[in-house]
Amino acid sequence: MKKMISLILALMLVVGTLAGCSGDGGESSTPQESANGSTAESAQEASEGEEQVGPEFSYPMDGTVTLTINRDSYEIEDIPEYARDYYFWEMIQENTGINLEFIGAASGAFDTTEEFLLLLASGEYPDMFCCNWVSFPGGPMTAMADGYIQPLDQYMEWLPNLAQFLSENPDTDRTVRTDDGQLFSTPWLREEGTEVGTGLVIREDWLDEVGLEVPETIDDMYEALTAFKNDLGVTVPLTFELRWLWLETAASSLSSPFGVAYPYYVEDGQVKFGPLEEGYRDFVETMATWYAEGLLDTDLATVDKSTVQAKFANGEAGVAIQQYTNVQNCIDVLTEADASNKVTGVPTLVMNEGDQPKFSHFWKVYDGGYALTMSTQTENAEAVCRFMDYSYSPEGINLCAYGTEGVSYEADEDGNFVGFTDIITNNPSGDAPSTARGYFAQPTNWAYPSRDLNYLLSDEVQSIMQTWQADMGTYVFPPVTYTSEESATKSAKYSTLDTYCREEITKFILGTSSMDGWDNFVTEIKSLGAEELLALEQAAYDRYMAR
Amino acid sequence: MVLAHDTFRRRASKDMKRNWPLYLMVLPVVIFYILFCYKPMVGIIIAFKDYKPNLGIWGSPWTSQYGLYHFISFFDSIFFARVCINTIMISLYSLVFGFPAPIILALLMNELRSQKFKRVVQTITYFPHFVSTVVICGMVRQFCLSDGLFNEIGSWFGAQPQSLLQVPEYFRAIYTATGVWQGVGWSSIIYLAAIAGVDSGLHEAAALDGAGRFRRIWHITLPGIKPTIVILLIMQIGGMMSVGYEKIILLYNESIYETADVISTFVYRRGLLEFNWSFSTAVNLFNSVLNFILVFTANAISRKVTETSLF
Repeated sequence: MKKMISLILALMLVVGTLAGCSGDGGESSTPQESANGSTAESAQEASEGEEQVGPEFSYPMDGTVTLTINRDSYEIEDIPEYARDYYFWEMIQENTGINLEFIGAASGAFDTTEEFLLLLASGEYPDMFCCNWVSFPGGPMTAMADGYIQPLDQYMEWLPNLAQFLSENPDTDRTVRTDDGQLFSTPWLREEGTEVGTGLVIREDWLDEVGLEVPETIDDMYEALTAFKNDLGVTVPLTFELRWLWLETAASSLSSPFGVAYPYYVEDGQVKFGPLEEGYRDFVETMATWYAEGLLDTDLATVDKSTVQAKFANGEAGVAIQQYTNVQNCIDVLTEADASNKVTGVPTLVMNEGDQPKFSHFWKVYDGGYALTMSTQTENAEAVCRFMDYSYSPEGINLCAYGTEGVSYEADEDGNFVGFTDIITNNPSGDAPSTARGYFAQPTNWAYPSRDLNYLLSDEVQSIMQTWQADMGTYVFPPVTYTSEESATKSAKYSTLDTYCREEITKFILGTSSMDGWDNFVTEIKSLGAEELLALEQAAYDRYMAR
Repeated sequence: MVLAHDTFRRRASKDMKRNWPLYLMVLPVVIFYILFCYKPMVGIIIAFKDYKPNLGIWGSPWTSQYGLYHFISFFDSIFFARVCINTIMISLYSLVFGFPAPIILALLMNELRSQKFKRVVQTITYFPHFVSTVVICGMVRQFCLSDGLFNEIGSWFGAQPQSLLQVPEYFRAIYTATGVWQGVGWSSIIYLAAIAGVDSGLHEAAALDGAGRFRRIWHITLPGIKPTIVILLIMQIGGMMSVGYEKIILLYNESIYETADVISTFVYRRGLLEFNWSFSTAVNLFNSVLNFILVFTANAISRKVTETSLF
């Protein structure tokens, strides 16, 4: 079976190579040579002089090169008719003059799929990988050492737009380089205004009813929740999914007043592990008190996304931690039930009035998801680079973000986006604007500097997202990479530590364990290697900052 | 010896000549087993190695501690005792409550005289088997909420509402009860088939002698399906150490790890989510060895006591 797969992959590769070569009619395989052959418009000049063709290069290329990529293929018949002629994946091939062959084995944003791992195991790689090497065990360094991917530094002449983008965004530049400074992938940058996607929402009409303002401090919140419970008889004053305590600092709007987050964050260049901090104890104690007083959802540990959404939408809950994508649904349901129902966002809470919030749910730092990387087995390094680079060029960015000019969006004479056309905002088939946009463009999950993700959101949701904005700035723990020794230690110890912390903290909050046991808990996590792992993260962080 | 060997050979070739179509027919099956069941067993070796896909099974380095690193790290884990006990307890619950349920259902159904009613009952009891575990668990989670169905029913009897999936003591009961509900109809099919094979003459004779229904069930039906029961029991005992992770992962949460975390969920978090295949293989190998010992013991006991056995 594996043999068969590798055979098929090998065949594909051969076919791909042949297609690539037929253009120049030679057996070009070195970057320099293929550069000459496949540049359609300047082919003749180029073949005379051996100089690089960078400045004169223009898209599209001559269409003779086919690149393989690990994405799932599509049937054009499955695309709605209104979008079929301008479907993003067709357009990007047409505009770049590079044909793509989708070989399947797509990978997730953070986790690696089994199909993808089988692809790695087969030993036959596509020209480009679309996956997350930062979360790959051992990180991009290991991926290079193991011979899956190659650094892009040697091909910078074919990546002018990316080079410019990286030099303008040094913080992002750091996230796509290894500790020794090699560029391993092209980043997907989330645009301003979408860095914070999860936060607290509150029933504004209920606040009015009990005569309170939108809470600012943790005490305000306590007051509001108590008023909801006692004056309005709200059964679930505050609800959220338990997992937000552990993931993406999404519950930090509650833990920020205590100056802590889970698991790692940075303060004055020092990496901190939340549960080891004194503030974390106070945070857990507060949550436990709230739970005991019935302010926190009784079902805290068992509610999932849809339950939280349902509880908030049907008026059972007064405050919830929500993702922005779900807020609109809740508002729709609430206002349909009663037009006077109102929802507003709550900024990250602080301890004392006037304090600056420390944390938020933060997306700005690129985590390595949906990156494009060049495999070691590509025979068309130039075409791979040109393809990657296209998404950083002005026209490439517009295609990824808005689709095709004159079809899905209108532009001014400089080519700048002005607005979407009716086909998006008032779709003939009744598709939601974001769905329609998804056919013409690839606004998310693709390596390019994304634009206007919230453009199609309602004003209400946009203003809620505005309230969530809090610059985590230097506090955020960046996507560091580990040496193979560090990886081994982490894989042996971290999962146990993490499980233990999650379990015990949950029990403290639910009141199953008394807060008196906190010191024992800290002793126990130290014996599980919390400090050793912290030192490891510190070392990785120091290397990251030195990049 | 030589003679015996020769005779066997001669007998075999004679048999081959006579029955070659049969041999031809069995050949694909034999090849299937060699290719897909025996050859992959070589892969067990990665339990003793640090498996890296690009290095392959043979190229990956052996682990430290004489290749036993992954086993030792499993035994050393602070969760080792807990996940083993939980696995055994959940298996025991399933065995004690889950195993007799389909037998009882089959016996009851066999006594039904109205064919129409019987068919309705069968359809209703089979149905949950065809619903995906994900959906079942989603329903169970909703029912267990503090304002869910179970608490609603509990409140009729004056019980305080509480989030049932946050109480460690309840998890095994919820897991087993929903398991029985989901599987009882489907598992009863094999017993119904066995009951159908019991000689109806015996029933008539017993009825003539004045034996009541329970007498007949006890003395005719049950002994008639005893071999089926014993074989299925041995097989279930052989699976004691392996409780599937899907249903537990869909039901559990941090507050009930204490009783809900089993070997497979532990491996799922530690092995699969971190691509640690060698570790997962080591734990599963440990599991399989224990399962094998259990099935072998159960088989030996059963051979002695009931004279029915798997092998």
